[in-house]
Amino acid sequence: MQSGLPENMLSLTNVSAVYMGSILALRNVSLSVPRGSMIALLGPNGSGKTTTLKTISNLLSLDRGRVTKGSIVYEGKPIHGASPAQLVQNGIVQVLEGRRCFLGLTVDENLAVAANNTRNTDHRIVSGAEEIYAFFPSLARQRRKKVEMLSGGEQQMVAIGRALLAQPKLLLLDEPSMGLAPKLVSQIFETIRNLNRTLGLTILVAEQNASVALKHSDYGYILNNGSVTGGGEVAELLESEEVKYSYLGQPPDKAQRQGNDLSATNWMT
Amino acid sequence: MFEDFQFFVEVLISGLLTGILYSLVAIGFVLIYKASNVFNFAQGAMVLFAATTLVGISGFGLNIWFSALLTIPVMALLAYLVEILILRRMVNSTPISMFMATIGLSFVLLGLTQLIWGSGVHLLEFGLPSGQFIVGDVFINQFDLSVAAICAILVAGLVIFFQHTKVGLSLRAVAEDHQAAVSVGVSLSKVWVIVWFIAGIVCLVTGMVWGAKLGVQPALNLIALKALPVIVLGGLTSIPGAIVGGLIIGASEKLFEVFLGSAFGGATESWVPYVVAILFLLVKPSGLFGSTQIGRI
Ligand SMILES: Nc1ncnc2c1ncn2[C@@H]1O[C@H](COP(=O)(O)OP(=O)(O)OP(=O)(O)O)[C@@H](O)[C@H]1O
Ligand SMILES: [Mg+2]
Repeated sequence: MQSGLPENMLSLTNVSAVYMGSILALRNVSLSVPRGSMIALLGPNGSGKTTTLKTISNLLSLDRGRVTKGSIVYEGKPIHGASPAQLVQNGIVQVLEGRRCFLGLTVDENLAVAANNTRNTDHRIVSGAEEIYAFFPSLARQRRKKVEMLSGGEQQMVAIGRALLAQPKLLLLDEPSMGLAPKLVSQIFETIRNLNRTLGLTILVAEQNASVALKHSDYGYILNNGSVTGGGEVAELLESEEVKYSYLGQPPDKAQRQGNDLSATNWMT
Repeated sequence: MFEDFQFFVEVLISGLLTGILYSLVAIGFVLIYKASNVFNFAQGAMVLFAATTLVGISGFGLNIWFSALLTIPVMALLAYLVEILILRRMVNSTPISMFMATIGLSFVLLGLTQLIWGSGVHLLEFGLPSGQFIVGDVFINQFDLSVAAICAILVAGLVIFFQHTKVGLSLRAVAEDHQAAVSVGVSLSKVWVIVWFIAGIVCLVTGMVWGAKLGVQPALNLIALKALPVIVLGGLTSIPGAIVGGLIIGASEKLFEVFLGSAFGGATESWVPYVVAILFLLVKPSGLFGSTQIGRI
């Protein structure tokens, strides 16, 4: 760990967010992401995972949403109100839900868009597209193909590779497993964990598939209805009733109470 | 019979050459729509604004080509102002309110143009040849042909810019998915300024060639109407569509007017393009180059 930098790369304190001025999507969300960790953000459909990631990257501002209260501190500085493009230059890079590759562009071009628009030189984590192709050899063979011709798993690799070329310090991943076969889901998570370990990249990953996500993460948070209802070490979470309910997508009262026992503040140092 | 065919070819060529002008206007629409999802009602006003500015500058006794060069930074300034005064403030607005904003922009530009340069008809003469030119037995208007050449150069320039430069690639990325582009560091404001600037250059060229043909006058604003059927035909998102659509509209309206116009009481050019566009849509609803996504999950 480098000296002088806070141990938490990112922390959210009591963050609330709305869409279109009135639809409350997050309520008092607090969570922290220690430097070098991989954190899973779990929760059923509509629980606010995507919104949480977008409040951090401020892509929320492109969805007619905004943060109404709370603070977001990244590398010791509040980042509320910074433009998404500025945040990318500071190292917060999000892989959007559904991959969102530039389908009509080639694999090479998809990667080049990120590489061309990255100005920061102080924290380069990958040297260039060739390094991405070394990570994902199946992309190398198709580099001149349009991305719309690639399989879902390959598109996810393009999306991740593209994000890496934006030189993130904090990578936000939104449901990387979406629409992929179970075997591919494990592979993608292994790859992500590998990036976390070998590149020292701090990762916050939103995921509905709790078992896979927890298997490859250090900590997990659980969102329900826009609030954090639980959080803790993965081993602890795997045992909790809360998670067992989340698998089923039900947030009953019992789970809420259980969740509070493991509330985020317990281990937020 | 052979004479008839020759005449037909002449009309066809002249129609195609006019069609290229429609293509130009349509390209301006397509560029802005692709990058900022705005249907730019002010396109015609921008053409008039560019052409009038050019004429106005040359009124100080400057060479016409040099005046055109000086108009370029004016169009850049316009793009910059549009970005900070309209686009940036309306990032989250619905397409319809953006459209309304461009109606406002159109009135501001028209007003500004008249305020500064007056509303008379100005001649614009930049030395394009005006004679006829004969290939085999077919007469071709040299002016129209030079215009076509200018348009071809412009389109080639656009293609090179979009396909082979870094900025062009960022623009294409924004057109594909603007949020994804932002997520990897593309600055939307920058892209919008650049696209509106390029559209401004296209308007300038359009204004120059139309102005040279018909004089620079407020009616230039209306040529945007000529682009509507072209866009219906070619689609709002396709530059090849705009080009081919313009050619089809130009050729069909001219052929119709010359060969069948008298039966319909003449002046058919004002409505034939719409009929062509609608008939075409009945056959192929997605437009000429309508996108059919080939994708796998
Ligand atoms: N653009 C939007 N405009 C209005 N409301 C939205 C928007 N996006 C999300 N919401 C609402 O905010 C709440 C949280 O949604 P969010 O997308 O963050 O959930 P999620 O956990 O990512 O769900 P999923 O697992 O389905 O992706 C939901 O009630 C949703 O309807
Ligand atoms: Mg989501």
